[in-house]
Amino acid sequence: MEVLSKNLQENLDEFKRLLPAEDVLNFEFLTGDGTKCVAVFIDGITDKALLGELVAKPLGMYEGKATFDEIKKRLASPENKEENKLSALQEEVLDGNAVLLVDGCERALVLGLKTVPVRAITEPPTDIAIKGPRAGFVEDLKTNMALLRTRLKTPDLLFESLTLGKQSATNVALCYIKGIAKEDVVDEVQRVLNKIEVDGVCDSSYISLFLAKRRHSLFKQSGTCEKPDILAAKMLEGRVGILVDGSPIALSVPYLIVEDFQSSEDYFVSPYRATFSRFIRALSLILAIYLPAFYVAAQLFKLQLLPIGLLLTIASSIQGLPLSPSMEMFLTLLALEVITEASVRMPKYVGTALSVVAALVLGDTAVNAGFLSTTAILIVALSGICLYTVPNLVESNSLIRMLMLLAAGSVGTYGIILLTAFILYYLFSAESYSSPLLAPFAPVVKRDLKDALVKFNTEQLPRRPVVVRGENQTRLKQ
Amino acid sequence: MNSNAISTRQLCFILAFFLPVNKLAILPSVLAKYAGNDLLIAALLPLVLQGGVIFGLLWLMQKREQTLFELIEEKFGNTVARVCYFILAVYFAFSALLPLAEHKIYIEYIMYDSLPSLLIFLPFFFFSAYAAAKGLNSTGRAADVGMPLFLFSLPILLFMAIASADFTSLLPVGRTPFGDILQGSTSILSWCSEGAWLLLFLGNVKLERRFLLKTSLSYVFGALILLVFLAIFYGIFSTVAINESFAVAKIARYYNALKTLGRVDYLFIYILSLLQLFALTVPLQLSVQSLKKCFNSDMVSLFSLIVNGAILAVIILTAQSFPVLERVINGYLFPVFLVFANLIPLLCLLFAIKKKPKRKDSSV
Repeated sequence: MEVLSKNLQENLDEFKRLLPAEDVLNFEFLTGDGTKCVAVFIDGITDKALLGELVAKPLGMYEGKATFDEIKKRLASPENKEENKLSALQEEVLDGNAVLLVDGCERALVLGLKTVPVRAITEPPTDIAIKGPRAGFVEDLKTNMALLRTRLKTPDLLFESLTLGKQSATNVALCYIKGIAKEDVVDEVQRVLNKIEVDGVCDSSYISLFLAKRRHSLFKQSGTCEKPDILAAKMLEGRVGILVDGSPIALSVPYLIVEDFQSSEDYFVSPYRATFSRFIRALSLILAIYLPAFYVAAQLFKLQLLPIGLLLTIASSIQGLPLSPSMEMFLTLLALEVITEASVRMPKYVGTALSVVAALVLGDTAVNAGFLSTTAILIVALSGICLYTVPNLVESNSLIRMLMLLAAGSVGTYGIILLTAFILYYLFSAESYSSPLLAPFAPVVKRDLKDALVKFNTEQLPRRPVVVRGENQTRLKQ
Repeated sequence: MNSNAISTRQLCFILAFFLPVNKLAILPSVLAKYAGNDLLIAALLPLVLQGGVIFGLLWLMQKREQTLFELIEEKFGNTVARVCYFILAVYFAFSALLPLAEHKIYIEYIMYDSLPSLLIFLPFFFFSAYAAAKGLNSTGRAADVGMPLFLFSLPILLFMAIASADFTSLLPVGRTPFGDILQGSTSILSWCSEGAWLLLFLGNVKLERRFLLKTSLSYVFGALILLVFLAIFYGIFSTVAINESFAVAKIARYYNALKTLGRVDYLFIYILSLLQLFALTVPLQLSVQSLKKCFNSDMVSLFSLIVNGAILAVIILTAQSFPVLERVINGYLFPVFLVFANLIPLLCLLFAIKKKPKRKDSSV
């Protein structure tokens, strides 16, 4: 049986066969003239109160002949559509909508009464701003779309919905501003998304793997953000956004590495402060990656690099250490990674104990016992703090830091320089949807440099970034 | 224009920053050895010669948007063009040899307190094999990154050094016999052979307004930087300059603040080393691109492995005898550089002038 029949009981039996789960409920009621109706829905994700208020109540009060068209007119729920295919109706029920079956009718009404337990809109942990909007995305797609719509009240803001995941049937929305986003990028993203055949999409990060052109790359190839104002700003530059039901993290393409050095707050403070902050972030990242490696290389291969006073201090702190400089640094970094990993997963109330254990037991005791030097701990601590100034790049940069350490320990400073050159060459040829990952630095895009590391006044940025924009280039008329 | 093409700006950066960067280690002491205080004149001669060749090729680039392969193919046929590209591939690999050997001993000096094992240098070939397999647009992007690296490192080193320089040691000009100056000039011909790079850039540059002016000025800028560097170098070391190889690593060491800060000048030297790596891979890339065109094949990784493998073998064989290698190449084989970096570009120019312009899309 592919379509509905006129017999209500047959239809219900078919639904029971298709959806045997216990949480699939049937709500039976009669219209004013005694026609039997049944609403099929899933407990917990369909709003039962609205079903009673907007559907059962008006129909129960209607005294006239309850034909299908009359029933449709009498419903007070705003989002209704007709459907007669059982497979489509099954999907609607699974999606949280109610299906209204009427005795003697071969059609059913899909009632948009989906409701899911949604957490409150709060400030996300990774995109905190002292100044500026605090609302973050939540796990509900509709809410996220609404959050975006409230910031971009333009008819050109388009959402294209699709369902991904054979088992999860996750709703995904592709969003872009027509004219501002490049059409070929939109087409390419659509093509990539439509090709995805996977069991489940539990989070947007599942999709980001498919969006990547280089699947085994250490570097991410799509941008991420947790705030609607940031996604709106990215879309206003010409990027395409991807929202996934069940994930508070939105994706955006094309992705440029420089965007992770920019914070939403940069646009709410003076350009001088924003520029300073961006330089601090860049400098911190350089320190985070290179400091442990240079410390090891300097100790092992080129002591002249360090001033004599510092050299003496280090010499006294490493005297009698059983470990080589590279092994000492490697173990300390490893301990930092373990502590970071544990502190993320550990219940909050154990966090304080963890800090004490990490700082006193591991740090102080290791130094007193003569396993580690204070300098190594200081360098790792500084490197660890610096790494988190650009939180979106932590995943790749912590690995690069380890690789740098390995290069420094085995080849010395030359190893660090070679690895840097290698990574740079890799990035030179890396592109995200036709936009070079290192733009606007390599290749240099002069106009886009005004909002890269240096931040110019908004009035000096009348045009959208060259590398990501579509036909509509102007964002500020002067 | 093909997708592998670089922009005018990137070509400018290559001329201004890649060309001088590998001339800062041994070249100054070689010049000082032959030309003494007249090292600037000795340097000027090959730089002017190279400048002339580069200007001619830039003019050709502007006049005709054809690649060298197309130019040769049009005149002599496809087979000759392929043979020429094979010879060019060998030449580019050969031209990379001395700079690489020099780079090896340079990094051994600046980055290690004691002489390291040869194995330390071998990872370079992992990088170069990867980089050489990339197209010209990667070279262009490397040049984009090279610009801030150069401007952040060399001017600071020069600033640190300038206070220690006594420029009167360059006087009187013309004291050295002309024969010695000329010998100094010929001895650095291998360092001034990058004009040949432009042969493969023909037809692969996106032309902009005032192309010739911008690119020519970029070359002049690079040459001037080198001359300033040489002047400061000789101003600091004067008569002992002959013994001061690895000049760039030494010129800033007398800066007063280093006593308290430590050798922070090394940080700038390391940054410059990164740029040197980029510049060193250019002839290898060109060699691979020539082979690619010669065999009309996309197996760039294989070509890159072959080219880098061959150079690695020579480097291993000559690991302990850089002075011999340097003497052979600069003393006996310098005509090779004259032919490829000067004569062949001039011949190309002559052939091209006689022909009508023709536009065509193609790669290197």
